[in-house]
Amino acid sequence: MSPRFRLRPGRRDTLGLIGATILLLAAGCALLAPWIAPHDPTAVSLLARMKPPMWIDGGSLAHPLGTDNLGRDILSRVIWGSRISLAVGVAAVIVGASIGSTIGIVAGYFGGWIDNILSVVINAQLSFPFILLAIFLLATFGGGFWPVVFVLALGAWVNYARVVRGMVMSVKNQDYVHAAISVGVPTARILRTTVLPNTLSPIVVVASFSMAQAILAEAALSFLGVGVDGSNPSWGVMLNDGRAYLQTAWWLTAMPGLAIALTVLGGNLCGDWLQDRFNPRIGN
Amino acid sequence: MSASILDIEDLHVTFRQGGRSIHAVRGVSLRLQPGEVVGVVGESGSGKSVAMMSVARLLDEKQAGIRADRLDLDGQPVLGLRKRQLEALRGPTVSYIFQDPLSSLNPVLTVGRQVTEGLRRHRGLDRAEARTVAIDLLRQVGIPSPELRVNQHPHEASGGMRQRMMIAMALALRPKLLIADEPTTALDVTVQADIIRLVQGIQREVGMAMIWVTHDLALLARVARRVVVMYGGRIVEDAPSSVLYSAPAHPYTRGLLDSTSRFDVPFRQQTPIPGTPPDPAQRIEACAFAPRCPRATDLCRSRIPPLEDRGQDRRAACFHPLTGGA
Amino acid sequence: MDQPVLVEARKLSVEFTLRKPLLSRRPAPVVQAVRNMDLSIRRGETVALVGESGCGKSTLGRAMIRTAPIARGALRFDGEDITHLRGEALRSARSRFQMIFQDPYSSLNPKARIFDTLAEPLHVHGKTSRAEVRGKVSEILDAVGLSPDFAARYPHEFSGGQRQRVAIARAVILQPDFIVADEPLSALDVSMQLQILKLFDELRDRFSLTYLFISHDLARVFSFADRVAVMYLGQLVEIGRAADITANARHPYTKALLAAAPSPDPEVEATREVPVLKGDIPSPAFPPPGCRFHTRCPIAMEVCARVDPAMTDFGGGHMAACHAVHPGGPSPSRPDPTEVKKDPTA
Repeated sequence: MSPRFRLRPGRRDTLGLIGATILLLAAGCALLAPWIAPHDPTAVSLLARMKPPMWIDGGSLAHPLGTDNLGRDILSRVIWGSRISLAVGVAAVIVGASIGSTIGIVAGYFGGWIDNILSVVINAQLSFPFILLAIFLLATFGGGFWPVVFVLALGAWVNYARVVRGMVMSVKNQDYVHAAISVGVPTARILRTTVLPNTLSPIVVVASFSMAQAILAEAALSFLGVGVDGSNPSWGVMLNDGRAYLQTAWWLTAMPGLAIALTVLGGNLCGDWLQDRFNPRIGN
Repeated sequence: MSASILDIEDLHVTFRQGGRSIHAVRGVSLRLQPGEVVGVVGESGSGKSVAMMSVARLLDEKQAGIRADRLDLDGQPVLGLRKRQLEALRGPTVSYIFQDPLSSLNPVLTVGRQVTEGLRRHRGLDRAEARTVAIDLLRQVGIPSPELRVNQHPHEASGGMRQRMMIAMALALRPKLLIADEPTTALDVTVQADIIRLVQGIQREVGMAMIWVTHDLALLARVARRVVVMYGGRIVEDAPSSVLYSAPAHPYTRGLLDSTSRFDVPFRQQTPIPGTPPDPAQRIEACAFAPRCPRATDLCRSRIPPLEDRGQDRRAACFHPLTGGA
Repeated sequence: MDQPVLVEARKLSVEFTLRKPLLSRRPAPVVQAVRNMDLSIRRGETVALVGESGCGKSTLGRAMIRTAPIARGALRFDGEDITHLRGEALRSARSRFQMIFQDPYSSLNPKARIFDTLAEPLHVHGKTSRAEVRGKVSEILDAVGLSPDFAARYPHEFSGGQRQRVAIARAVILQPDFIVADEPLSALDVSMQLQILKLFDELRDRFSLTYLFISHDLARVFSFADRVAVMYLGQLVEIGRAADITANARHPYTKALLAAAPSPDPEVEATREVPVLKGDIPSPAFPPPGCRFHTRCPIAMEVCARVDPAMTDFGGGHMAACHAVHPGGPSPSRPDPTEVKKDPTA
């Protein structure tokens, strides 16, 4: 980013700022969960089962968002749940971005048959229902944090590869790449020091969107029972747990649902904003 | 005073970009009589193109703030006009030719369609009539076998041919004022001469007023009767060609003349203008050229020199002019 | 001028294969961007390579520093055949010939500080000590007229002229022998063009450089060059000492280039006759038969449409390829590069 990068309040920027704030809040929750969560998220209290949120009759300040069927505090569970959801999102983004960008750079820079193979793989993957593949893999090889991360990365890498490939194909024809070649810079170094930094902005944009997608997908997988280990309070697991009480105790599903929706919105707003920011070239 | 075709008084254009304000045009006053041919010369960032695009309000006004005491085109104040009224003005009153014909032509429409777009809209010609006129126009601008060309798309033509198409488009409605912004910069030198000759011929025939915008003073020597020199968003000199080239008043004009590429002076005997052009984001309360000027004094560095009459139909904004001192 | 030859292209051809039109049965068209080019440049000499778009001047420049593929012919550098140099040998040879590009806005990596852009060639070619690199970068910035504090800044903070100075600094930092400058002035404003040309002149003396200076503006470069070479559609049409070319041009195309340049004097311009060439430059993919210039030539004869004229020597290194100026009737035909055996080196 350039030193002249500065915030200027405009409608787009305001939305972007809201998105960034949501993500930061979520990240804050995740990092500070042990200190800000009012209760132990796994502490069962059969006396305090199915308490509604505090603004509804029967609710109390002790459990601001109510309790679930085992009397566990929902606010604490949502706060702790952000740890898993965000950790999965971030890890999936890092793994997916590394794999996808590397493949995209190689395919875009060298072209030829490497590029042809990549195009076939991308198109094959895009035409296959991802969630089905994910369920199949997780059901076969078992769930857990890292398996979920890898499965999500497997779904996301194409997005990076496609964007990066396109960007590299335009960057490689820039004279600064020709200049590096004519100075005698080895190809690997050109890719690392010249091509990669100039493709970072679209990578960041894609990462922002796909972070939101990963969180959503993780929730869906947990809801379907093939996600991260069920004993940890992840937002998807909470949704699944509350499913049976949808009619009687809506807050069991609404609260984690809201958390998911807000975080995903935050990621998307951020992505939109970054895209706008990066698209017009910095400077003149 | 006869009715001017263009009358600009104290025009300012400011762009907002990433929290910065860029003062592209900082007070330009210019008046053009019908049929007059004027060259506007300046470096990139001098504000010459922005000022000329303001004339038909072609700038994106979400980003560009235009302010002027007067901006009259053929007697009509342009700044108060609505979109519809502006559209009625573009074509019959003012037309443009830009540097890059490829990006100014629509790639998916045929050449004939684009050339006569204006005619169909403003004069209500039908298809067959428009085609006949289009062929005629293409022939006028020197395009060989125009009967075939009308049905082709821009990408099928060479750079020179595309520029001719742009010219045909701009001239279709016989505008009272034609603004050509670096119309030959993207063209090869041997094609350039041909295009200049073409535009000049049509201008003389139609008798329209014309503004040539360029960074090359040498090019204007052939085409313009009067030359306006811009620097840092302002006019620094405005004079008839007959006096400007032989005896420039502003040191910047002198510097530009000394910098042009020419066969009669070897480059070792040429003196470049030192330094770099001013940053348009900076507000300058001084002569913008002072940091590069050999004649600059403390006065130049503390006040903006006004654009004053210097006799011989010349205006210059300089405290220490080379000629025509008050 | 008795310096040894530094760079020599012999019967050099560069070809590009165009994309085959969709659903076409014909083979993909091949463009001979540079055809059968002979050009040798002596150490310390500056050759201006002049021509219009599509004439192959940039491609020739790139081929002469081995960044465009050589289809036929040979390239010698400082006595060594480098036509087929590859891999590590080519990479290390690159420190001796450099290129400066036309557009200083695209030739500098926008994400790299000036320091990193200038230090990269040093790192690649073995200079790694921090102090040494830093010293060298400051020294070179000073040589191109920029303040050493600029090293910490990014390209977008500079004007076009300043960027071009940085690009020049990158090219000379390894102290190469030979520099190909590809239209280094044409993206700049008139006032900057002269500044930068003067810088090229200064560096030429200071670092004893040899230039191939590519330009479309003959008026700008004729007095800067020792010799001028004029190209049209991939071929040389005239070459000679700069003074001979401007005062005594033989080829009608060179004459047209000379006449096309306007003079900054309304009185001269009011009376000066500018001969206009017919039409546009043909596509290099489908050059006309015979003399490639005959479709636009004001003095074309019947023979010009059939026979591509060979270069005629007018003495003093002045040569031109034109039937009309060949003494005693039409010139013999130019040799066909496809008949020349590959790699005709001695």
